[in-house]
Amino acid sequence: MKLKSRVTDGVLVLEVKGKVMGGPDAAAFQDVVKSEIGNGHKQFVFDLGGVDWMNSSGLGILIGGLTTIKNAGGQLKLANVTEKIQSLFMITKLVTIFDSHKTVEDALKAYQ
Amino acid sequence: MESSDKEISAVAKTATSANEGWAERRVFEELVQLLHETKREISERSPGVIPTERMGEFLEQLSRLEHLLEHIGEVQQSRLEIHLITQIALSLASALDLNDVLSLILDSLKQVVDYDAAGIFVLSKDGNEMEGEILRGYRSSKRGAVRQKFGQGLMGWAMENMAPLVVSDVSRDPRYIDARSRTRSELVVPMFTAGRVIGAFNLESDRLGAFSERDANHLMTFASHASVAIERARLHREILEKNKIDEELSLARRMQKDLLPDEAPEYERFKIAGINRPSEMVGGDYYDYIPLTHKDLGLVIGDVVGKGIPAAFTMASFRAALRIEASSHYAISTILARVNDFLNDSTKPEIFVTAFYGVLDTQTGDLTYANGGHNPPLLFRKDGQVQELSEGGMLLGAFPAALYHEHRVTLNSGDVLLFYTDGATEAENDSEQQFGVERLKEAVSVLVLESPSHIISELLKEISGFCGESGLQDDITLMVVQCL
Repeated sequence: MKLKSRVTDGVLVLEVKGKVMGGPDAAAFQDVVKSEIGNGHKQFVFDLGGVDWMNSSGLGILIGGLTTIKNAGGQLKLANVTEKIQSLFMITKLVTIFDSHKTVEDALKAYQ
Repeated sequence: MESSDKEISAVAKTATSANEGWAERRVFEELVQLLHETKREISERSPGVIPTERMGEFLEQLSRLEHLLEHIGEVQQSRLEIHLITQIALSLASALDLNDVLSLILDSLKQVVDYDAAGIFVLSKDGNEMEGEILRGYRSSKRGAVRQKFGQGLMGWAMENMAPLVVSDVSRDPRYIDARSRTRSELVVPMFTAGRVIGAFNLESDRLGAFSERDANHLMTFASHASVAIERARLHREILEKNKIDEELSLARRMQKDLLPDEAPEYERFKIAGINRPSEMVGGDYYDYIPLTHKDLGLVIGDVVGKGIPAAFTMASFRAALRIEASSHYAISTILARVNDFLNDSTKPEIFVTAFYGVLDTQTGDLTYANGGHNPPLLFRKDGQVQELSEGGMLLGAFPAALYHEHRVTLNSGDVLLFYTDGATEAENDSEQQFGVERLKEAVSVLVLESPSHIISELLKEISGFCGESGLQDDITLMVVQCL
C-alpha cells in the first residue's frame, strides 16, 4: 500500500494505491490520518482509484480512518471506488456509511 | 647434559591432550633456558677447560642444538595450538545454548592464550544492544565499567576496524577503559561473520606485554570458530522459539476447533452439514448450530476480520456474545444489535465480524434471519431459482447503535440453503480470477439432490480444482441445510 496526500481547495486528498490488506498498512494509514488531523485538516477525500486489491482487513483500515476523522469532528468522502471495493461495500452494508463519489472532483464539489 | 637429553626426548613426545601439551611446553621452556645457561657458562669459563682450537667447533654444535630445539619448539607449539583449537571447535560444535557456548569459549581460550581476566561480548542480531556476555576475573562491582568497554575504548576500536588490537602497556593507551586495577596489558579481538561484527573478546593480563601478535592471530582463528558456534546457538534458540510459537498456535487451533460444532443436529425434515477449513493454523471463520428449543435451531456463519490469534480472540468473543443473546429469545434484529454494540465496545472500530444469524423452525421450515454484512447465503429453490439472503444490516462491531432488520423465508421440500464465507468465492486461480458467486451457484445447482455433506465435499473439490491448492489463501467455511 502506498499513500500520498495533497491539499486541494482546503480538502486533504489521500491517494491510496496498491494492495490494502491490514497488518502494518493499518498502522501506517492511521498515522497519516492522525497526523493530518493534527495539521488541522477536517475534510478528507480518500482516492481509492489506485487500489489493486483490498481484503476485509483493508475494509477495517477504511473504517478505522472514518472513525478517527468523525471522532475529530471531521468528514470523509471516498472517490474512485473500484468495482471490487463497491461490491465489498454492498455485502457488508458499508455502502450506507461511506459517502462515495465517482471522481475526486465530484467529492471536492460535494464539500462546497 | 645427561638430564637435558632426557628432557629433549620428553619434548619430542606427541602432545595428546591440552594439559599434557602444556606440561611438555614447560619442560621445553626449561630446556631452552638450560641450554642458554650452558652456552654462557662455556663461553665464560672455557679458557683452561676446553682447548682453544676445539672451542669454535663446540660452540657451533651448541648453536645447532639451539636451532634444533627452536624448531622442535615451534612444531610443538603449533601442534599444541592446532590440537587445542580443534578440540575447542569440537566441543563448541555440540554446545547449543548461547550462554554455554560463551562460557565454553572463555574457558577454552585460557588454554590457547593465558589471561588474568577476560570477557566475551555478543551483539544482538540487529546490532543495537548486547545480547550476551560472560566475564572472568573481574570484580562484580566493576561490571558496569566492563560493560562500558564494549563498543568503546579498545574494544570499540577493534570492532570498528574488524581487527585485533594488542596493547602492551594499557597505561600508555588513552583508549583504555579501566575496569580492573591490576591490568597491565590487553588483547582485544573482534568476532564477525559475513562481514558483520557480532561481538568481541577482551583479554587482560597483570603482566606488561603479556600478549603477542602471535596470540592475536591465534585468537582470530579461535574467534572464527566461536562466531560459527554463536550463530549456531542463535539459530538453535530461534528454532526452539519457533517451535514454542507453533505449539501455542496449535493449542489455539485446538481450542478454536472446540468452539466449532462437532456434528450437525438431526431433524426429520432437515439434513445439515458444515465444514471449516482454515488457511492458517488459526482462522477467522466461524459457524455454529445453536439448538434453542426442540424444534428451533439457531444457524450462524461469520467471518472475523484478519486471521491468527487476534481473529481467534474476536471469534471467541463474538461466539460467546451471540450464544448468550440467542438464548435470551430476543428478536433476531435485537440480538444482532446487542452483539454489535458488545463488539463495538470491546474492540477497535477496524475489528469487525460479518455474520448471518437465523433461526430455523424445523417443523414449519420458516427461517427468520438478519444478515450483518455477511456474504448472503444462497437459497436454491427446487424450481432452480436462487435467492440471496442479504437483508439485515451493517457488519458487526465497527459502528455503535447499528440497526438490523429481520426477514423471513420458508424452506420447502427440495430446497437447499448454502452458507459460505468469502474464502470460497474469493479463491483465486493463476490468472487472478476469483471463483465468484456465479460459479458457486452453478456448482451447487447441479448438486442439490445430493446429501449436504456430499455437496460440501464436491464444492471443496470444485474450488480447489479451480484455483489449485496454492490458491486457497483464505479460510473456507461452508454450511448446507437441506429441506427433505
